[in-house]
Amino acid sequence: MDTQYAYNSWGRVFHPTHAVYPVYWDQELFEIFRQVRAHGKSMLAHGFGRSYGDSCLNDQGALIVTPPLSKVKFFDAQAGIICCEAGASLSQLLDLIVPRGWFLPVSPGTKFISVGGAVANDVHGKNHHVAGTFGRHIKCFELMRSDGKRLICSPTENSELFAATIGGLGLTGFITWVEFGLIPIESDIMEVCVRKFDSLDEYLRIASEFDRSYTYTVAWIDCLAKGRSLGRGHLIAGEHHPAARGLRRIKGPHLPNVPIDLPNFALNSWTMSWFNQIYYHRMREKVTRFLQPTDSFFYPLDGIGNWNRIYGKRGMRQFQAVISQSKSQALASMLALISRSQTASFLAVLKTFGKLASPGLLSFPAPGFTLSIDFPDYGQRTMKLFRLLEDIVMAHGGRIYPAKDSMLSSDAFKAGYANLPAFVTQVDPGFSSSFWRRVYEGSETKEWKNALKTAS
Amino acid sequence: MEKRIKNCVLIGASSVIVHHVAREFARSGASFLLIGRNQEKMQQVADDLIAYGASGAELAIAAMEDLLHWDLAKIREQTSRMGNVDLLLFGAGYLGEQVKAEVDDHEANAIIAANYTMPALILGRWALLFAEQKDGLIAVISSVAGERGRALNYYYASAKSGMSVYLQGLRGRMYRYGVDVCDVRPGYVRTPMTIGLKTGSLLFADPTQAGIEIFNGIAARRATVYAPWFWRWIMLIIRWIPETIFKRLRF
Repeated sequence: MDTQYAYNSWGRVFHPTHAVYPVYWDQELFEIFRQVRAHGKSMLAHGFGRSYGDSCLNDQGALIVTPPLSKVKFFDAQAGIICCEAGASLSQLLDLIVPRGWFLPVSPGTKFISVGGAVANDVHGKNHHVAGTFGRHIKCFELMRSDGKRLICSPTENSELFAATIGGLGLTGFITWVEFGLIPIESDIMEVCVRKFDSLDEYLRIASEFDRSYTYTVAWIDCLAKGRSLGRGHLIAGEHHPAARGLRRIKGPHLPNVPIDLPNFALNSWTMSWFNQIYYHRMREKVTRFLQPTDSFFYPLDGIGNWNRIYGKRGMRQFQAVISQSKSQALASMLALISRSQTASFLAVLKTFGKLASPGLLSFPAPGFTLSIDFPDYGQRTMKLFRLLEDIVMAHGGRIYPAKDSMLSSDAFKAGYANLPAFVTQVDPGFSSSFWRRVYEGSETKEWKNALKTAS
Repeated sequence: MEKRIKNCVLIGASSVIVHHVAREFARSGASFLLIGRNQEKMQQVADDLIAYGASGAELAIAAMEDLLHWDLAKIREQTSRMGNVDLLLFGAGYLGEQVKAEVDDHEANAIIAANYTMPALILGRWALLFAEQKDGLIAVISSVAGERGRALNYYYASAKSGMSVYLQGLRGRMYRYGVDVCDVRPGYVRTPMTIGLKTGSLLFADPTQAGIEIFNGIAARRATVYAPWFWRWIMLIIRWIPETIFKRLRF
């Protein structure tokens, strides 16, 4: 058992206790499972802890820590197919595949996640409107159940478990390795176009056109702007650049790590509002075009190690939901609510998901707008805001992303995920997570229930 | 001009550090002979090296005890397909339990044998090959622990220290053959060996990073490589602490 790191999630609002088992070799898993079962605990695979809430935590249970399990089984550089163990990080894989002309089919906002986590959360990226989720690119994977049974899962083999495990939050068993397809690139450079928009209406007018002409699109929103500027921001679009400088790997700028928690007052509505003002107006022209290394385009925050410490000891919560494209009014009311609260931070992102369906039962993306916003955790105030946002999402048939969530109610989870009954039949009884107990099994702590009551 | 390292022999190939260093050589198409005890683990490492670009990865299943019986002829035979050996990377070792070793001769012996006696004898055989080749590089994973004895791990540390002195001598002997000897001293790296060590996480390095630093040190043919680099300075300070103070420290 290992106590050398504190195992937590990215938001740092939970304070769990775990029995921790790092796994170095695939053949050790059976013995680890046996030990966990002998202690009468439930287990959960844990990669780099980049989920924001409690979906990667298992308070009072066991965490099987996967990053040491990171060997590549094969890499077919002709066909663009890679097969690696679940703990391999996207960062590790990029250093291997980019120099040989390949790129990840789907890239989330950080490369410091494990491949197992990419499957379990069925991650999406800036190219969702043309490529769908990560799950769509999986050829097959191996799942080890708590009884030690190993199953190869693919669309044709053990297809029910395949569908349940993609986006299945690690609850269907332990993913040992994953085989997935890559996309060809000719350089490690992106051609980027940034278009400023001064309101949500303008975003709605230009977004679909950008989605038609670019593979990668995402918008940054100034969540503190009010009135007519509500929903202003930058639409960022990109394309892999053809052979600008060859395939030599270009590391993005590496800024110093945040070594300690900043004091809570460092981020307040004044500092954040100032920051957003400057950031928005920094761009003078309506449209700018430039070249950028892929790392800086896809993972701008990865250059700052431990950036979550900027939020101080209180931690942070993220809200990410998706609502149908016909409900742009709901999007506007959500933004108005957030702006009025003046508690959002700099990190607010809007993206329009495409129609490509994921094979995963509990996959989050659905056609429509997805809004994701970080908030410093102000306790009751934040909780109240999240309740109101959740009400809007529920009223419009949307759903909230478990990988980011720390406050979702049972009702909203069950209403948002229609495939939940089918998923539940595939859950491995030996696996569990804090999220699952809180949101599905309804075993919230007393404090949590009371807090909810006062908040609503 | 720098000689390119193409053919690598790995002893203790399933060690996390050896594997991560080897990966860096694999990226530029090196070929490998992996020597170790556990076939299943070594096969996984070999597959990984191939995926990283290795032009070949063969296995030889042998425990350290078996390697004591490899004479020059056997070594020649094992490496004949590879040709000239550019690098021998030796990473087998055993941390053991200090407290147990203090009362149990078997444990004490096992620690000393795995970290000094056996590597010293095995490296002696391989040195004959390198002397014959008049070319190549011998890199051995010792430890920063060997730079000063501490109450917490002095069986392990003294064996590693002996290994470092052995390597100094070997370096002198091999110099006239044009063979370099590199003493690799890792600090705390997250590996199965360090599971359970309670030390500030700031001091712990990720094996990928350690692997890259060691690779750079070996490729530059440095005599001593610290990984991560800051251990050179930590150990400098630790060596300077007067013994009257040092003996009272508990760390």
